[in-house]
Amino acid sequence: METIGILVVEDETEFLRAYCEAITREPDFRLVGAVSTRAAGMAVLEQSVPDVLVVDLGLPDGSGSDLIRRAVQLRSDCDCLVVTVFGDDQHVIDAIAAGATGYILKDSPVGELAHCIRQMRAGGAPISPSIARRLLARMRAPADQPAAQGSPLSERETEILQLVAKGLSFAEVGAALGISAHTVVAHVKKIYRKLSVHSRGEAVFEAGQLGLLK
Amino acid sequence: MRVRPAARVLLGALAVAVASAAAGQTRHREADFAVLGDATIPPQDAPWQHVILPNQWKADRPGETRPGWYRVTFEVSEPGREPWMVYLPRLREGGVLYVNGRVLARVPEPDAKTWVRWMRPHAFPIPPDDLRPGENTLHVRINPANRDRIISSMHIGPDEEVRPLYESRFFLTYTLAQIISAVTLSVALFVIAVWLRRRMELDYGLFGLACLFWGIHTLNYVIEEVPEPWWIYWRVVRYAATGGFAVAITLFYLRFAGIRPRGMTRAFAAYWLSGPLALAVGGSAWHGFVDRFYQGGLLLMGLVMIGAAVRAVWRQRTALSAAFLACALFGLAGSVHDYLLSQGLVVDPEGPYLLYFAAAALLGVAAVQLVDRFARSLSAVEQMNATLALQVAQKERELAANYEKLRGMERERAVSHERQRIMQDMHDGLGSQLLTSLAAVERGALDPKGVAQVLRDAMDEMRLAIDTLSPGREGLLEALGNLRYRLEPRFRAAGIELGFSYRDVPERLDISAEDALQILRVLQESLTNVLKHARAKRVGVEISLARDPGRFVLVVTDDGGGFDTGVPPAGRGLTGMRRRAAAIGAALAVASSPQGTRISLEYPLAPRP
Repeated sequence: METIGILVVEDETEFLRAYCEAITREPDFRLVGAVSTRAAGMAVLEQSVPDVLVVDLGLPDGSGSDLIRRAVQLRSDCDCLVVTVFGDDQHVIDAIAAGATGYILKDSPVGELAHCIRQMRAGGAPISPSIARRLLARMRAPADQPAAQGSPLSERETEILQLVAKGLSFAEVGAALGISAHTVVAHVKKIYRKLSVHSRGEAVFEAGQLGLLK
Repeated sequence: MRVRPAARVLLGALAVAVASAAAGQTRHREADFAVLGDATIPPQDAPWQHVILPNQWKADRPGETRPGWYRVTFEVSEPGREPWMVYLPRLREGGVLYVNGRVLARVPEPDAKTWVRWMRPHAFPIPPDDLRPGENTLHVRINPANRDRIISSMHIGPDEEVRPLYESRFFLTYTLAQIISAVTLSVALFVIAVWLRRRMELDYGLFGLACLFWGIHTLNYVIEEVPEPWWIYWRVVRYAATGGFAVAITLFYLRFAGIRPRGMTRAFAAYWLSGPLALAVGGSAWHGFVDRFYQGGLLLMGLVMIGAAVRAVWRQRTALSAAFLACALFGLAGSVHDYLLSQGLVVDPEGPYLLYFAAAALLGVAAVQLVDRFARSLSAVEQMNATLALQVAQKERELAANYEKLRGMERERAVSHERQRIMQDMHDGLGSQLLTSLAAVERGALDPKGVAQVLRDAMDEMRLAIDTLSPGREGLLEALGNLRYRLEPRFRAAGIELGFSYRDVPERLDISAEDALQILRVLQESLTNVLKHARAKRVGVEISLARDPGRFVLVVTDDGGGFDTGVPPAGRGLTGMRRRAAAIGAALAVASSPQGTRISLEYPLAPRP
């Protein structure tokens, strides 16, 4: 049986233990590492990049975003799951911009972590109404740019975000658009990837503006 | 070639000087004079007397009724070779000119109908046929009725020698007067118009009047013929103008020198009016008196002006005051000269009137002074405006700072209000929840699972607060979506299907954050109740808007076991839900049966303005 290799980076031992237990409980999951600092996480990534990276953003020696960026850089199909206390918009959006495709609240029910990981491996990604709203605002075509360089989102993706932002579930969004819930989450994942690329583009653009790139 | 008038005056004067020196041979300063009966030329053997030109025979022959004759002889070698001309610089009251016994010209003379006084020179070409080789004779007949009976010297000679003399003289005594008259009258109209708009600027008024009077005075040199009945009035006007000019320009310069004596102004005005009034009332009988003494009195004004000018130079020590003094001296000299000239006294009667130039200089210096003052006051106004603009900018900055301060205070008040609200909310919500839980734990009433539950409830409470209170959130609908998204995994874990449906709900709802938080708490409480107690398979949340009156309606239905609404089991939190509903003026209805429970909340929306 094909197993899913998972690396956990979490500085709070209680949660680290809880995540490790939740992962080892699943027969098709394989825990490849459990570390509590950014440096250790980096070291593991340099050895081999797992299928899934479960990472806390606020690590004692730096941001989990660096790990996400490095993991996606080394292996583009690595799924990065961010663990967050509040699910507050800014941190989640930053993590998505770094390359994360999922996030989970720290106090989620025990089974939720496995559910999330499976959803991501199946090509999907979770999204809350607030995050959908933020994404829409962030990816809206700037008024001072020509239409060709407008929003990187397709029309369908925009529709999905709009419905999610209204509070509809994936099933309800799928029903409204005549597609399956599975297709909806696949779209969401694509949207996350676009934000990541989009953000990198913005960074390059800004760097160019600042004269950092020649 | 165009030559500026001032330059022409100088050139003209120079030409006269040069020509008079050079043209000695054409000028005749001696003549024979006889007073003889009437229209025929006196014969060769008449009692001719030798006289010097210019000549006046008024003084020594009062009451003479016969005309006076002047005779001048001149040599012509070849009459036909070149054109000849006779030129008289001044022939104030006309006369008849004869060459070799034939009439050459009749210069109009005063008669019963017309008053005449020629300011211009006279010149006449001599027909070649009238000349003969050798000696020729020119006779001039002067009417005894003339007031002055005066004749200047004569120029007789080839056209090309005499004509330039004539033309220069014509320009100086006639054309220039026209120009000065036109210019001063125009300036007068302009300056007086300005003064009428700005009465307090007395200097403009005095200058304008001086120009006006001088313009009228100068008309005297231009208008040489006046119908006899009008003559006396014309003289009244002329004296009034001369006196007015003297008074106005003197007062102007007194002010310039910083002297403002009211009494002197009145005395000047009185004197100014006296002469013209005497003439107007007394008629021509008074003319001689006024002409001599009124005009003579005006000379005193020149002395006053010189006094003022000396004072101005002493006090101000400026180029302008020095120029003023020079003009005043020149003016007085010119006035004396002209006075003597007009009275037929002492000075060369052929000389041009000088007050012309002196007056022009006086007016010019006054004009420069006014322009200087005008420019200064404009600069002062500009500077004042600039200062004013600075002050306005300063005030604006102060106002802006005040406004900024007020806004800061406003912001602070809003922030403090918001802080107070959140504190209140902590106290009522999370705080009391944690306190109750703490009490229960300390009592030993809770097992670890129960503790986990109360902590989870506290987390939920906190998340709701964050959802509704975070800046940038879009209010109730977004928070509802987030609540659902958050609870979904728990319902999935419990194997309960959670369905949301929206009916007629707009994109935005205007519900305050405080009220939205209470609505969300009611919903969260209902849903966690279902999770904890209902043993349901399915729970549905329906969100809709009702009309008339506008209400936000929230209905939660489950197919669980229900409970007795009269005696709600402990921990169901119905009391808390009722309290929250009451706090925001919403109606809460709970219906429960063994088939399930239905909780509905109706929140009245504020009518849209």
